[in-house]
Amino acid sequence: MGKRILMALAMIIAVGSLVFAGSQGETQTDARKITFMYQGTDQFQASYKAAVERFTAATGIEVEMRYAPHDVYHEQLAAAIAGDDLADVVQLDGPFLSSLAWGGVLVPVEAYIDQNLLADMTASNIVQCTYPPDGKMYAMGHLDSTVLLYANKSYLEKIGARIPTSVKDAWTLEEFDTYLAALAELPEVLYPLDIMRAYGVKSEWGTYGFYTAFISGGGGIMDRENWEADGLLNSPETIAVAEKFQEWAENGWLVPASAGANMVFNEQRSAAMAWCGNWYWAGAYPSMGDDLIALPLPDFGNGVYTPNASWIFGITKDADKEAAGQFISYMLQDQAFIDDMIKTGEFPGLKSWAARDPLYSTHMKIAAEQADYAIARPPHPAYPTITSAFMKAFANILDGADVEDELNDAAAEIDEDIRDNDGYPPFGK
Amino acid sequence: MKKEPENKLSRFSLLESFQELGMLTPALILLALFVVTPFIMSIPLSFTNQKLFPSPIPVKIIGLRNFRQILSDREFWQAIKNVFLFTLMILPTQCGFALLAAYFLNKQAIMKKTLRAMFFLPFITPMVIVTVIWATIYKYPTGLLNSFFQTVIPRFQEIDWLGNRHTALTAIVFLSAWQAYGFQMVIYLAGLQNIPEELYEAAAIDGAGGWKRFIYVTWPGLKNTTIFVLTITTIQALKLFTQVNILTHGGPLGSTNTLVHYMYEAGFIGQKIGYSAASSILMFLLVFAVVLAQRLLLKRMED
Repeated sequence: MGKRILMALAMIIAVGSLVFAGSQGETQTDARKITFMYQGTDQFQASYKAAVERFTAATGIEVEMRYAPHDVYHEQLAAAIAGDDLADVVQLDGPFLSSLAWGGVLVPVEAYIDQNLLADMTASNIVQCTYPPDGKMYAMGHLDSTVLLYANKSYLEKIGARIPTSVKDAWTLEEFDTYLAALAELPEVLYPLDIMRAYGVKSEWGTYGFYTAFISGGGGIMDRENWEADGLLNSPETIAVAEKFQEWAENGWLVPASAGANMVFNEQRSAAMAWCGNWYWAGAYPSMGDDLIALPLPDFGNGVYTPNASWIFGITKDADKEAAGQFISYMLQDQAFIDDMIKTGEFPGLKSWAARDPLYSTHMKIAAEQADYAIARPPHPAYPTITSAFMKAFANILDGADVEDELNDAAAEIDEDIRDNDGYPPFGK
Repeated sequence: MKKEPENKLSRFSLLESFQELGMLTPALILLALFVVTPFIMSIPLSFTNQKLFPSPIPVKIIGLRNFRQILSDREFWQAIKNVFLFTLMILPTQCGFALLAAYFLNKQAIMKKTLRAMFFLPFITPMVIVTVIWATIYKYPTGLLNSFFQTVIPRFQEIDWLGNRHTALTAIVFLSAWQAYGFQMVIYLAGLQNIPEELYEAAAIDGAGGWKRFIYVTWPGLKNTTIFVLTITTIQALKLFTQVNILTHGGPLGSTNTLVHYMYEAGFIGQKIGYSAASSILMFLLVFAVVLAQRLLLKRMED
């Protein structure tokens, strides 16, 4: 009996070591391999997978794909960094670039990226990939984004609203305010405006969707000279814009979070306008057709400013950088991949794509025009704290909190984090 | 001759305790590895300014600064208040519902197993799914609950259950109680089956009716079960997170913020790991104190 067990054990060990030796031998003869961490909708995931397959077929370099869900992506990225299990190529949301470049996670990419691709980037795309202290690009992207007003044309005609045809004749705040009030009076309109509260406060939307409204009103989140929030985030101009949003919420003009994000294009067409990113078109157009129009964001007094940036690709410090750069260059120039982007109504960050995209030269012409009015979110390593403090304050303000208190608290929280990190040198010097 | 059985007994109990230890070992190892070790590791972290993403600035020891900041943060105190409110509301709701269900199922003769499985079903459904289902029930203005009230009460004004700071926490109480009562129900069911039938017979002979039998036989017989159920439910309630993170992110106006959510936001959204570790230690102390106080209180009631 005992002998048999011993024999069995010996067998297991022998087989095990054989397998182990086999797998070791395999890695030695293995082709070049990189890892790729990404997020995105089902459609995006399919596009990435297809592009990766074409890349491997063309170059022989294998790509191990590591998916992480959108809502917890940066948490999982942080876990990968902490666990020393970082992928060679990582996707990241544009405004997090400064934080990752500052922390030494990402390396400058220009040396590894195809020159043609670099030359093809739009100005707004270059801005989202650039780390301000050294002016180098720490990531590469093909996507950009913007936020627009989407309106039900027949409702606007009913109230006799002026319909802007260019960013230059965007609505003034007074006009916007008057139209909201008039739309609220229409019997078929339950809510004049949907600002996508259904996205929740945690999805970055709270900062991304609205920071430019504050800049347009003469305020903003952070002073980009001395990198302080106090003095700008709680300035009278910022407070005035916040109070405007609060007033709209209190009037019952904004679609509440639990009502969902489809009130403009649902069967009842119960909301008149949506304040949303360029992706909204693809969801709303099929059911509304030409009744849906895209308009520039309103001018809060200091000119129109619009949000930008999207998910971009960085190369990490311990990566096989040549292979990583080759992969990014291949995928972003792969026309079948770009075709997928055009199909889903993504916003072009590449000039060659913009030139052949029918959507952005017709219905969404305003969106393409808005790229010239784009201003980045504060490109600062404290961005995680900046966005979390701002989103929280903005959500509370919409729910009726005291505007000044909330903005003072947020400014204090941001500046405190910056002090705790010695001003994030070389920033603040 | 007389010594033999004693000897056997002690050898048996030694073997038994050895067996018990063996059965406990896997759970103990897992607890030590994934609960105790991380907690101990978070103690030194709580005195530093450690960030989530790597930083070129060396991590510094900042003493009690994190703790001072947390204790002077009104959001932290609001989260504590919310968690206590939640616990106070969910204890009677969830345990009461569990006891009622157990009492009913214990007497039920037909379709016993099917019904038990049905009542247990919400508990084995993941919280995320339950939360999404309830989100459609609470939906404003066209959700199930609002439609129901509109049919029952004429001219009922729809309520944004999760978007109103006076109703959001209560809405989460009902959702949570519904999801989790199955566990307490099973424990109560076991407790009910441990009450000897003779006691009920004796009570019946004494002329006690259904209600009196419940008050004088069932309830006292369930005392230990109740103590266990209350303790478990309290600990579970103090850890509230998933539902809040999916439905309200702590809003509106912080009315559903909880300690775990506060910790999560500081650590993973604000990326302040040191700060987050400090709040986890404060939370541990709080939960420990509450459970200890509850234990002492219930012990006294027992005696």
